[in-house]
Formats: sequence, C-alpha cells, structure tokens
Amino acid sequence: MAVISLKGVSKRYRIFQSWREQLKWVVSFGRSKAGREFWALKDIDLEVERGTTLGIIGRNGAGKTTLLRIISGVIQPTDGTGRLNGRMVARFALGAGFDDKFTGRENVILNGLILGIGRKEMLERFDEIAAFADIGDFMYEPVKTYSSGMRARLGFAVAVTIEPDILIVDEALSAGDAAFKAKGMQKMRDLQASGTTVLFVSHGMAQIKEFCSEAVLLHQGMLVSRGDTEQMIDQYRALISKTTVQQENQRDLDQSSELLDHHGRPVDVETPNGSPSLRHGTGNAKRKKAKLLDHHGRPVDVAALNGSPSLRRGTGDAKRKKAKLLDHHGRPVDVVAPEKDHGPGAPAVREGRKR
Amino acid sequence: MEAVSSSLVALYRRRWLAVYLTQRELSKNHRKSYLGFLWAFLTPLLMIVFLTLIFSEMVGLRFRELTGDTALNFGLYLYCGLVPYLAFQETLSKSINSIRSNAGLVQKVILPLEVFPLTRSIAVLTDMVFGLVMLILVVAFLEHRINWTIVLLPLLIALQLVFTLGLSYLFAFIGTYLPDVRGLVRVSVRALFFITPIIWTPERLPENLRFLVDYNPLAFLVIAYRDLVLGGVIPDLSWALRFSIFATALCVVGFVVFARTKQNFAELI
Repeated sequence: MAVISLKGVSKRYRIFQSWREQLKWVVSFGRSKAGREFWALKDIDLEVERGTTLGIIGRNGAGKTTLLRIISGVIQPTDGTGRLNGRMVARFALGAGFDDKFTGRENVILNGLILGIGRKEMLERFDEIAAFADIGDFMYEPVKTYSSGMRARLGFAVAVTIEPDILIVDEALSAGDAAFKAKGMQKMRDLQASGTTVLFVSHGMAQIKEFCSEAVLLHQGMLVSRGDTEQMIDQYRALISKTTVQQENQRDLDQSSELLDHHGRPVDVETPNGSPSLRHGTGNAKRKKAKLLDHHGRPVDVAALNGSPSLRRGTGDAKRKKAKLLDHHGRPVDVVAPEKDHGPGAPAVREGRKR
Repeated sequence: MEAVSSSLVALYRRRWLAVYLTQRELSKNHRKSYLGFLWAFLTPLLMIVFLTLIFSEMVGLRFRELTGDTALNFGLYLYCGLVPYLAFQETLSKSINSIRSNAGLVQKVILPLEVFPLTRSIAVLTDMVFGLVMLILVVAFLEHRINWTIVLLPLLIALQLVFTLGLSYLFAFIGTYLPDVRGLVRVSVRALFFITPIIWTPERLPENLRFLVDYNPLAFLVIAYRDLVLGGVIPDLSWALRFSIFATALCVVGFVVFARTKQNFAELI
C-alpha cells in the first residue's frame, strides 16, 4: 500500500512587483491574476510504498522543500491531490516547531501535543529524548540560547523518538557534529528496520547513498526521474557539472582549459573511465595523477601561451580563455590519456567507498 | 461547511494542545518576573488602588453630584468599566497577530491553526477573571457588601467568551491577510474607549446620541458588569438577548471565514 501518493501536484507562487498587485491578489482571496507566476512544482506524480527510504535530491530551489511541505500538509498544492496513509508525520527541518521563548523541555512537550501524543506519554518519553539529544542542562533553558547544533539535536531527537509512520528529514543532520550524525544514522537505520517510511533530503550524496533504497531527482520544480540511488546521484552530478562547467571554465584552468591539437581542433581529455565529461560518475573514482607526454612519451613542461611556465598566475583577474600545450620545440602537443597509477591492465582508478 | 466541521474535529483532537497553549499564554507575561503568577492579582489590585485614590477624591466629587449618588466610589465605577474594555482591547491586539507571531509553528508543522485564536481568547478572559475577583474583594473590603448578583457572572463571562472568540477568529484572519489593518484597529479601539460609557455615565447622554450605547456591544458588557458587581441588579434582559444573538452570529461568521481561509496562512506570513 502506498503511504504517500501524489497525483499531478503543482504549486504556484505569485511574485508581485508592487504592493498594489499584492493587495489586489490578497483582497480577491487569491482569485486575481495579478503578479508574475512562479511554479515551484510542476505536475509531480509520486507514490511511496510503506517502508521505503526515498532520497530526494536536486539543486537549491529545485522544489525539494516545497514538495516536503506539501506532503506534510503545511501548505496546499495549487493543483493535484496528495494523499497520506500515515498516522503520523514528523518533519524534521532546522528549527522546526520550536518556540524560542520556551525551554527545550517545554518545546518537547509542545511538539508531542502537536503531533497528537498525549502529555503523559510525552513525559514518559522525555528521558529518552533528553538522553538522545544529549544537550545536558540546556534542556531547561529557552531554545533561543541554543546553538544550531543543539537545535538540530533536540529536533532530531523528538522526531525519531516519537516513532512516526513517516519521517521527513530535511537537510538538518548536517548541523550536528560527527558523533551525533553517527548516532542519528544508527537511529534512522533502526526506524527503517521497523518499517518507517523515510523521506530524506540532503546535499550530502554519501548520506543519500548510504540510506536510500531509491531516490528521485528534482530539477526546476519537475520530477526528472526516479530510480536506483546511484543512478540518480550520477544524473544529479551530471546536472551539476553541466550547469557549472561554464563557471569552471573560467575559474579552474587546471581542469577545464580547452586543449587544442596541432590542427587547432579541441581535443578530448581522457579521464580514466574513458568518459568525455570532466566530472562524472558517482564521485568515488578520483584521478590521482595526470601527466602530459610529448609524442616520444617523455614528460613535457607545460608552457603557457604568454610564456609563463605556470598555468595559474597573477592576481587571477586576468582570465585566459584558451591554453595550448607546447613541447620544447614550441609545437603543440597531443594530449594523451593520463597514466593509470595502478599499473598496466588496472581498470578505472577506484578508491573504494568513501566513509 | 466541510472546512468548518473538519476544523472542529481537528480542534477536538488537539484539545490538550489547546490547554497547553493557554497555560503558556497565561504564564508568558509573568515568566521573567520574580513574583511570577502573583502579578495576575497584583496588577488589577494596584490599578484599583490608583484609580480609587486619584479619581474618587478628585474627579469623583463632581461625578457624585452629577449622578446624585453620594456613596459612589468613582474609582471602582471606572475600574469595573475598564475590566471588559481592557479584555476587548487585549483580544484584538493579540488575535490580529495570533498567526503571524506563531510563524515558526504555522509554517513548519501541521497543527490546527484554530487553536491560536482560541487559546488567546481564553487566556485574555482568564486574566480578566483575576481582575474581577480583585474587584469583588475590594468592593467587599471598602463597602462591606457583596451583591448576590455576582453568581450570574459566569453566565456573562460565557457570553463574553462567545463574543471574544468571534472577534479573535475574524481579526486573526484580517491580521494575516491585511497586516496594515493593525494600525487602523489600534486607533478604532482607542476611539471606542471614549464612545463607550466607561468614564461617563450613560444616563446623562442626550437622546440623539443614545445609539452610541444602544448599538455598542461593548457598552452592554460594561453596563452589565456594573449591574452585577456594583449595582446588585440584573441587566436589561432584552439587551442581553440582542447581545447574545450578535455575539453568536459574530462567532459563527468569524470561525467560518477563518476555517475557509486558513490553508493560505502559511504562505501569507
């Protein structure tokens, strides 16, 4: 049975240029067509089965948080329907559901009551929550005195301890330190094992990969694809590199200056896995060494066009658009594949899983 | 209609949340002071003392001549009128911000938004009850009498709660959609102070200005409290009936409007 099912969900926001437009919109109870439309989500269909851990990845502004807010019911979709078959949804985002003026303890009780857990039951669980959050006597201080790490700890402790049917984790574990992250991960694994449906948003791909059985990729408000976590991460990285390659061309001469052969044509830079893209894969494969060899197989000095031996120089204000590699006779050289440092016959360089 | 019934169900399911938020609302004002909850009683007491000292002797002389009631303590008369007025003022200023000031909760967690105007109304009236209790005690102490009519006070307070809830829901909606109304409301509430018989007595009002009292729900509350606490008489029942109808209508309209628009609140703030 699908715990979450969204059908054709779209969310439109209006952007107003002037207060007059906004007033017109507000006074007409949202029926006026004033302002510019912005679709934060477009036609999302999503079904999540019970017990799934679904990673949601996408760039900033792709619509991840909007999607989660619709799923949790805080905002209503403009079009489409969403249905939840969960008894309880706990959404954990930074600072969610805390009233700054009240103590951590009071906020724990408040959160329990909001989720429909009785005060008594919440008091019984309080010790467990306090132990998990592990923020000491700060539990009895107003939340406004907390650091962001402490807020994250308390929020996460509440969200996981109440054993929700659906747990939504919106990029918030990152505020905790490594020890807390490890503890949080363990707790999430326990919840997974007990059949909790988890929606996990993070920009930390390692975490996504570790946790999620499936992932969806959001881009510009659309659900681009859904599938195996690794594939989605690959797609996401490809998306990132496509959109940032322009900037990198400017910034990162080491990686992306255009290489020309002696006919003046651009050459492919061969990466160990043979892909033409400069950035690809899951990010696990790293190139350790790259050597430039002339056609005799000897290493060449890298000479820049302006005669300077270094490829990066000066204040960085001046940008070189093109760089040619010349051998010691001043002729352009072919760029051949970098040497694989595992010796002949070794496949792509792989460092293994990053932990 | 569906929106209204689901609102009511949600409120019922989260009744303990409402209780907790009311408690919190009440303790909010006193939590940083050394005397704490004592202030709930001290504030009205101090106010009565000041009003009695200042007005009873200075303005009161002239006032007693005008009303022909030589025993009247003008300080108490004034305070008794201020009790419902201050509650009214508090209700408006709190309800108009009730959604915006809870933005942290409204935007991030799912909870029935109906609890905010409700808990604020109840908190305001609870504070008012402390004031009434002090007033009754001071009347007993200064004038050595307690009117039997105070047993009817719970009825009047219940009626006032209906009126207050209506105002709260309506103004919570208005304040969320049109925050600029706040300034307008503040000025209007001040003006209402002067056109309500708080510092003047309705008996001496010229006939052509009677409507200021007759069509003023706040005037009903002020006069009814005076009748019950100071006068020892039962308020005008036909007026009470008219007020009840008005309060109920306001409450229904306020709640329906709120229930139907609340889904947009999270985006508006």
